[in-house]
Formats: sequence, C-alpha cells, structure tokens
Amino acid sequence: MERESGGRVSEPVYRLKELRKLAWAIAAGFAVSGLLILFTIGVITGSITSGLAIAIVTLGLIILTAAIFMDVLWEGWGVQLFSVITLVIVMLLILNIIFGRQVMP
Amino acid sequence: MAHRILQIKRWLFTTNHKDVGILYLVTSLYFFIIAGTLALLFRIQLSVPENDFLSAAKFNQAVTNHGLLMVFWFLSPLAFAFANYFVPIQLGAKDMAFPRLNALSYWLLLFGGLLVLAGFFVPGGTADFGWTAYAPLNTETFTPNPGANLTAFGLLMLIASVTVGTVNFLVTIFQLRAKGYKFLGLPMFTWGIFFTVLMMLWAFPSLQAALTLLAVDRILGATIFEAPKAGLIWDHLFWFFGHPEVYIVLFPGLALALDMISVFSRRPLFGRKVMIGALAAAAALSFGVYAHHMFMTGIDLSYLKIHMLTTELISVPFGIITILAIISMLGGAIRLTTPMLFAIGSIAVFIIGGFSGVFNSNPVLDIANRGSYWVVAHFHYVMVGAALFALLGGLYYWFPKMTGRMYNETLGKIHFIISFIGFNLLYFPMFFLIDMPRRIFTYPEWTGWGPLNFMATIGGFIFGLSHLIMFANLLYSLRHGPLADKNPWGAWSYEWMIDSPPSEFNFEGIPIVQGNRLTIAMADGAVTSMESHGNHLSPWPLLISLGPFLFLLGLGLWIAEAVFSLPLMLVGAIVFLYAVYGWFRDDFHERFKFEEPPEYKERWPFTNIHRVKLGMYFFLLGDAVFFAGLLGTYVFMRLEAGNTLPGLITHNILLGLLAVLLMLWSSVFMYVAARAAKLGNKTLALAGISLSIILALSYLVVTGFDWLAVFSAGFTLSDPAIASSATTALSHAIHLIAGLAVAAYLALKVWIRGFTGHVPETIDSLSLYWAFLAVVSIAIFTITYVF
Ligand code: HEM
Ligand SMILES: [Cu+2]
Repeated sequence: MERESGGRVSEPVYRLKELRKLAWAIAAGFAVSGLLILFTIGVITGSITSGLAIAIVTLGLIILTAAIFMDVLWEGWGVQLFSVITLVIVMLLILNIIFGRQVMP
Repeated sequence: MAHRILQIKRWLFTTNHKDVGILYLVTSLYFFIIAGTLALLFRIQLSVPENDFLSAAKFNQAVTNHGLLMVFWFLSPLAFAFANYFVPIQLGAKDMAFPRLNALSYWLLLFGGLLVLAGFFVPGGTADFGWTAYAPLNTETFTPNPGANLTAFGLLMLIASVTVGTVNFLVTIFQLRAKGYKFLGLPMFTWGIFFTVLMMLWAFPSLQAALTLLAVDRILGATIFEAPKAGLIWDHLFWFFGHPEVYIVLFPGLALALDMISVFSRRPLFGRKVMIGALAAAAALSFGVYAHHMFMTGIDLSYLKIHMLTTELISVPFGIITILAIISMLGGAIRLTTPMLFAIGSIAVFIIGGFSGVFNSNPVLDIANRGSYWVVAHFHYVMVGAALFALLGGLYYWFPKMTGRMYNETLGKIHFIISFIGFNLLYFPMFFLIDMPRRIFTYPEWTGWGPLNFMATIGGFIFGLSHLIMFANLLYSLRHGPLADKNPWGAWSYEWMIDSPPSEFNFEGIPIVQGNRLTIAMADGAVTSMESHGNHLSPWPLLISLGPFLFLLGLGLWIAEAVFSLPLMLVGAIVFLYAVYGWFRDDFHERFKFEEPPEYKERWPFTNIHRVKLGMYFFLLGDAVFFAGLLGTYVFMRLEAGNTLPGLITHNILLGLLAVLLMLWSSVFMYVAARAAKLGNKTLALAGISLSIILALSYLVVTGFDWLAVFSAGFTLSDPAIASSATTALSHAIHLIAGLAVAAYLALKVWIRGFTGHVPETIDSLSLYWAFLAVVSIAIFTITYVF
C-alpha cells in the first residue's frame, strides 16, 4: 500500500496516528450532534433569537467540524494557513454583504 | 492519411501540458479575432454622431460580448497558454500534477466560449447587459433575449474550467518543483501565475454563486434579482469576484514583463523579493477594495470609506513594482528586441493606467467620472495596455522555444510601433471624453464628442489591423523562419536549458536543482517513471466537456422554444454519462498512470500530503466561498427584501435537525472508511462507505421531504429568501449526488480489486469532501432553518 509520500513514519506510529484520528472523529461526531440538538432546543424555546447568537453558533460549529473532519487539525501548518485564509475571505464576503447595504435610496 | 488521423487524434485526446498550452494559445487568438471584430463594429457606430450603423440592441450585444470574450476567453486563456506550456518546465517538472484534468480545463473553456458564441444565433438576440451583467437588467423581465441563457451557461462552463485549472496549478506549483528548488528562486512569471491562481481560487466561486442564482431566476422562474434592492447583492457577488479578476488578468502579463525586462537588460531584477512581496500584497488587498465599483449605489458611507482607503493603498505595491522595474532597466545593458519593446511599452502604459485608477478611487472625483469614458480609458490602459502588450511580448519571446524557429525581428518591431500608436490613439482620447457616458449607442452632434470619437475609431482600426502583421510574421516563421537554438536570448529560466521545441517529457531524467543550477540526474527510479509516462492520450476530457455543451445548448434552445432542443439535451446527457463511465473504467484498470516519484520533488510546505488530497483541499477552499455567496444572499434577502419570513416559520426545524444529523454521521462513517483504508482494513472500509452512502441518501430524502412541505404550504420561488435558500440546498444536494457516484464507484473498486494504486488516498480525499458537505449542511441548518 502506498504511504503518504516520503514514507518517513514507521508502521506503528502511522497506525497510532490513524487510530487517534479515528477516536477524535467519533468523539467529535457525538459532540457536534449534542451541540446541534442543544442549539435546536435553544431556538425552539426562544432563548436563541438574535442574529448575532446564530452567527456565533454557526461559526463555532463550522470551525469545530472542519478542524476535525477535514483533518485541518492534523495536516500541518500549510493546510492550517490556507484554511484560516479561506475563513477570513468567507467572513470578508459575508461582512461586506451585511455592512455594505443601502442607506440612501 | 493515417498520419493525418493520428495528428487529429493527438490534438483531440492530448493531455500533455505543452499540447494543451498550444490549444489554449490557438483558441485564445481565435476569440481575440472575434471579440476584436465586435469592437471594430461598435467603434464604427460611435465614430460619428447620430450614426445608425448598429441598432441600439445590436450595439449593446456587441459591447457585452466583446467584454466577456476579451476578458474570459482571450486575455486569461492567452496567459494560461503560456502558463500551461512553461510553468511546469520552469518548475523542473515533466507535466502538470493532473494531466487529464488539464485537458479537461481546456475543453470546458472552449465549449463554454462556443456556447457564448451560439447565443448570437438564437432568434431574439443574445446577452446585452454589459460584462458586469448588473441586476435587475440581467433578469428575464429586462433581458428576455434567449441567447442570454447560453451566455450564462457558457460562463458557468468557464468557471468549471477555471476551478479545475486552479486546483491543478496550485498542486503543480506546490508539489512538482524539482528537488532542491526553493520557492523564492522561481521565475517571476511562475510567481505571477501562482498569485493569479490563488486569486482565482477564492474569487471565481463568488461569480459562480451569482450566476447560479441568476440561472435559477432565468430557468426556474424565481425572481431573486428582481427583489427590492437586490441589485446590490449582485454588485457584491460580482465585484467580490470582479476586482480580483482585473488583477487575475493583469498579473501574468505584469510578471512576464518583469522577466523579459530582466533578460533583455542582462541583469537580475533589482529588488526581486520586494516585487514578489508587492505582488502578494496587491493580491491580498484585491479582496478588500471592490466597493470602489459601488460608490454610486448609495451604500453606507463609513463602509465606503474603508474601501476607498484600501483602494488608495493598492497603488503602493504597484508603484513599488514599476519603480523597481525601471531601476532594473537603468543599470542594465538593454537590448531592444521585440519582446523587450512590448515589455517596456506595457510598463509605460501601466503607469498611466494606474494613475487614472487612483483618481477613480476618490468617491468625490469618481462621482464626476463615474460611468464615463474616463473609466473606459482607465481599464483599457491597464487591461489592454499593461496586460496584453506584455502577453504579446511573451508570444514573441517564447515563439522560438515553442516552435524551434525565429520570427522576423523587423516585422515584430513594426508591429510593436504601429500597435502602440494605434493603442494610444484609440484610448487616450477617451480620457477627454470624461462627460460622455459609457454604454450609449449614439450621441447628438452638439455634444462635441464627435472628433475625439472619430480619432478613437481610427486608432481602433490601426490597433486592430496591426496584429495582422504579427499573425503573418508568426505563421510564416512557423515554417520558414531560421532555426532557433536552445537559448536565443541568453535567458536563465529552465525552459531555455532544454530543446526547442522541448521533448515530450521536457527532461530526459530527473531534474534536480543545486544552488541555482538545474542538473539532470539519471537515477534508477527515472527509468520506471518514464515508462509509466507512456500514455498521454485520453478521449474523456473532450467528451466530458462535450456532453454538458450539447446539453446546455439544448436547454438554451428549449427555453427559446427552438426545434431539436430536446434530442440535443438527450444526446448531451448520454455523451456525458458515457464519458464519465469511460473515465472511471480507465481509472479502474489504472490505465492512465502519471506520477513523478515524490522523492525527487520539492513539496514544501505540503511535504506529506498526497497530491489528490491536496487538490481536494484547494477545491473545497474555493467551494467554501461559493456557499458563502449563496448563504450571504439568503441573509441579505432576509435583511433587505421586505416581507420575507424567518426559516423557523417556513421550515420544520426538527426535520432540519434530523437531516443535518444524518449528514454529519454520513461524514463520520466516511471518515472511518478512510482510516480503515489507510490501515488496510477492507471490511471496515467497505462497511464505512456503505453506511455513509445510506445515511447520505436518507439526508437527501429528508431534505427533499422538508422542501416539499415548504412548497405545499404555499411558498414559492417568487419569495427571494425561499429561492436563495432553495438554491443553496439544491447546490449542496448536487454536490452530494456527484459525491455519491464516486463513493459507489470506489466501494466497487475496493470490493473487487482491493487497495490498489492510490485508492486509500482517494477515499481519504472523498472523506474530506464529505466532511466539507457536512460543514455546509450545518451552516445551511443554522442559517436558513432558523434566521
Ligand atoms: C493601480 C491601482 C488601481 C486603482 C486605484 C483602480 C481603481 C479603479 C476604480 C476606483 C474603478 C471604478 C471606476 C468606476 O467605475 O467609476 C476602476 C475600474 C476598473 N478598473 Fe481599476 N484601478 C487600478 C488598477 C486596475 C488594474 C491593474 C486593472 C486591470 C488590469 C483595472 C481594471 C479596472 C476595470 C476593468 C474597471 C472597470 C470595471 C467596469 O465598471 O466595467 N484597474 N478602477
Ligand atoms: Cu476594482
């Protein structure tokens, strides 16, 4: 089987790394599910109403999910840097849309 | 005869980066001629007051398509012709990271352009809303022209082409540099392409979001861009893309001009690292200045001030680059060859264009100039003057390398002089037409605009026809020019170290960089890698693009109620499905192997990531902007469009929760499958993929059910909030369905063949894609089901 290039890591270390990622992903699956359920309860009971609260929850959940399931946590600083730049650009677009609105007809 | 057929097959099925580069070159020049002819037509119309050479409708269609074709199908593809041909060689690579995807980029580009051209032949006319396609002008109500649908489809195919190409170039530049080749040592041209593709990565998806929404309007009868104030959301999505786009057009040419200046001044660029930094700064700033195209829309003033400030900042890096370029020349032994003349001309013109831009950046001044020919002059000075002159210089510069023959130097210089005069005669008068509005098709005598316009038209013809000299020169020299040796200019980037034209794999052995020198090593590994290079032909990139072309052509004609539209769509769909099947079948038998051994490559900072996974990362990072654009539109509609209702009322939040949980766990199982594949556990991998597929299908069912409920409750696409969230959900579903096809195929392959080739890496990349879709579904839930 082809190893990620270079083949520098030894077999047991490699196995351990994959297993650790697996454990984290399953734990995160439950954690994110729980948070989504809590959020829904919050919305239904009317304790989460403001746009700001929704925005913060959205951002938090997105970052958490991407960090773990998209391997951003595990892939080294190159991927992390590009992910952060993307987050900044996405925020830039959204904030521009929200704040660049018409005040005069 | 057999030879002929072989030649045709080679050009249709090629995946070699140099062949693809030539295809890009020929195609871009073809569109140059068409778009240029359109320009001459409307210049004739404008040459004298009260002219009736073109009707208003014809005039608007000509201007619109001139702009679109020049920017998207000529300038950028010309730059990418060179990029395809030379970036891999300058990196010390044998091809792009994904040769078949490279061919796919080309065919998508070509067929997208053909769709735009087809728009002209649809009864009722084609797009006439300007290259910016401002809303609500772009909607069915204001532009019923059926051809406009084909324009929108063509642009979507172009975006697909750009997306694939962007990913390919990024992985190539990051992972295929010759061993020992540090980033900072790369030639300016490759640096320019690097920043260009980075801007493309994050800018184009915003246009994609805008066009997707427009397509939903035009095809499914929604009215997103006719909602109150919706013109502004188009502005945001378009210019978030559009401003980076103008730098996307500029950067390759600018960087190439710098390389040529260095070569023909016989000295390294002065302050090279500073220039690279300046390019980086300009690229970064380009995402934060775009509201300077929206000064007149009446938006929030303190918001505008930020963009005005950043706009003025952006002239700093460009100022630095031009000053350093001039200093570089001053100290050198300048040879005024044709490429050098074009390079100097490009920089000179860029200074004028840049200055005029700075005036535009001041809202007070700009309100006076807004929408006038001053702006037309500004952007043609930068786009045509700076970018095109440099690229034409590049055509002369690289002609000997691509063909093995020299062009005629005297004719080249004559071309430069005439085109330079024609160019200035064409655009300089427009700076004085500061009170003449853009986009009017004629003007009365008393305005006094006649003489300047007449001058511009004369200049236009001189400029346009001057290129015939170039075409004649290059076509003649192609056969009869004197043979060129390896390095006629005494240049030092690596394309000049190899044959003219280069051999199929550029380097016979393993290119390695030591110090600043390229050496070719003959290690054992090289032999096997050459063998696996064997097959450079594949019919699937062509067919995979032909299918959507036929389908979209049929769809456009169907909306126009033309005959033969349905069979066309059917044939298109069949061709597409067959080609996808063919591609998968090749992959199944691992027929198309192309990979340089990673050990011989410089891959910093992605040393340990497989190229497929890295490509997937880049694709998804761009895709994030696409979904952000769609969700941003939803938020905008909720805030601005008057009587829309919160998602909490229109949707069933519990169904939404169920759906997002299904999607999340589908992603968890795909992640498990990827880990299992990496560890070589076939049973667990298959179980993971299967469970993932089942949960994803359930997600689609639940979501579909929820939307059915929304529509049966009486909501329709004429509600802009509903329409934009439905577009988001639909886009997500289409992503997922494409993913499901790949997942099913991979499961089949693992089941029958086990973990051959780089299957584990592909599953890992697929799990990345799945995770991204889970992230998007969370955002869809928390925003469109609640807010
Ligand atoms: C050096 C700094 C530059 C500044 C400060 C600048 C500023 C501006 C501003 C403020 C406008 C809006 C004018 C208006 O619509 O009233 C504008 C338009 C434009 N600029 Fe620039 N610009 C610069 C460089 C460039 C470059 C390098 C390019 C392309 C290679 C470019 C391409 C364009 C285009 C295409 C438009 C017109 C878009 C349209 O409305 O169709 N600009 N520029
Ligand atoms: Cu701009």
